[in-house]
Amino acid sequence: MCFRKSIVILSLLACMALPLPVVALMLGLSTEKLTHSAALIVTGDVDDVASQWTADKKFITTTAVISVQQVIKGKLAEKKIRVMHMGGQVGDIVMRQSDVEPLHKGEKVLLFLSPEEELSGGSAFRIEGKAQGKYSIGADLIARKKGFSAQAADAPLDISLPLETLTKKIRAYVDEE
Amino acid sequence: MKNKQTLRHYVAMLCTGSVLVLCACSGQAWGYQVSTTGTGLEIRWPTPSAGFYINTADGPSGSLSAIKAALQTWTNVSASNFSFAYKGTTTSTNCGSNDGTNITCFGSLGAQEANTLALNTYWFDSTTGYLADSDIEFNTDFAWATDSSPSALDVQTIAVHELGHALSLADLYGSGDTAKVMYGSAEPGEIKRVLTQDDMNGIIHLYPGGAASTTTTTAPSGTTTTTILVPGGSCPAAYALGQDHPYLEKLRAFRDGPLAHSAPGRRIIRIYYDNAGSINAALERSSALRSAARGFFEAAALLMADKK
Repeated sequence: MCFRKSIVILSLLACMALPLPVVALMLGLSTEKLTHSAALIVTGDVDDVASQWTADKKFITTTAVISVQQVIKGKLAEKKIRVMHMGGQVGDIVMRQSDVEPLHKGEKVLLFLSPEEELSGGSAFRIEGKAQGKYSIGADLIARKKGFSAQAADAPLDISLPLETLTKKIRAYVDEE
Repeated sequence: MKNKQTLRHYVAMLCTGSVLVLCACSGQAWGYQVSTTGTGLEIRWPTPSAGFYINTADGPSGSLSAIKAALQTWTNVSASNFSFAYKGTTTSTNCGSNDGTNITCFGSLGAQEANTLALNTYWFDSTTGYLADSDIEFNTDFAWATDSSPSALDVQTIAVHELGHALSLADLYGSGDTAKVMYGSAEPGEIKRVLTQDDMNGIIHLYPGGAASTTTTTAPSGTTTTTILVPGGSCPAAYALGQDHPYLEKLRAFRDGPLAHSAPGRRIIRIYYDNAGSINAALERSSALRSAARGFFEAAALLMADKK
């Protein structure tokens, strides 16, 4: 029994220690900046994720389907939206790009979004500030973001806070607009 | 009975894997962090070298020298056998695509990348973790300089950092990491062109300079042979227990038997030896960790022997 417990503890420790490596450098974006630059801010569930080559076969992009639960900023007629980001895996080939934090199927998220123009012509969304504009919402209702390296990392970037606090904060910035 | 043995196999594998993943992945403990595939394999170049072409168009004067110096900074780490090769200048702006040609270039990343100072795009094989292409693009929507200008980003500083990523080293965020080249933040005027010991330990871990020995595991069919390089012949179990410890044979039998005969097992072997240098370095630093590792390996050996 003791051995079994050790295994569970070691496994949990291992999971906690798993890093989220990222590369490169971005401007640090405060919640206020993210709110003002995003056209749409939503919470929702990641229903599906699929990667594909771009039409010119040069890059891999990933499209996630999000079931929207709550619209915090902007207007939205649909209940499901598509969010695209650079990088992904097709077959055994993986492309990764700086500061892109992938969306994972089954994940609950809060996203700062803007229309994606380059690849979808505006029919899909992209995440503002890449990884900075994505919060994962845990079962503890804490919103956490990670996977980016920002200029002036000591700036108040709201890395981890209760979802309710974050939502109120965003709504206050929206009201200022 | 057989089920019990199988369960024990899995328990032992899970336990070993958990410890190794923990050792392999807690970058802060080692002072550096390595990028991994979705299944935990360390990402690296298949051979300890990578060549870069440099496109200085739209960059500040002195960019070529600055980037060449950055390449040389990593190559100069004597305890690593890795070398970056300067392949020449190029006019190609094909930054980011998987064409097998690594380039650095300057260019506007456009409105959608308005907050990105520099961008690294890299490609690898998910089954091996081997890199195939890595390109670095400096966003000219920001000011760049090579003369330590306080209002511009220093090309050499950012190039050394980005080339660390090209080696497969990841960003660090700890309060004790700020002096490191691989710290995940930079500001205009900041000059950080010299590697710290932890930065060097990162490249040494990935591409150790010592002579390599090999250990070979054979898949069940007997037709496929997986050869795993063991850096410098080091094995954390041997290090923790001592080279003459009688339990080492039990551990090796488990490695070459149950572990080597399953795909997850072979992956654990690969992760184990990939991270042997780092694990040994940590064991060397901490007697408490050595003691804990000794206890773990002894318990694991007994468990594995018990199945017989």
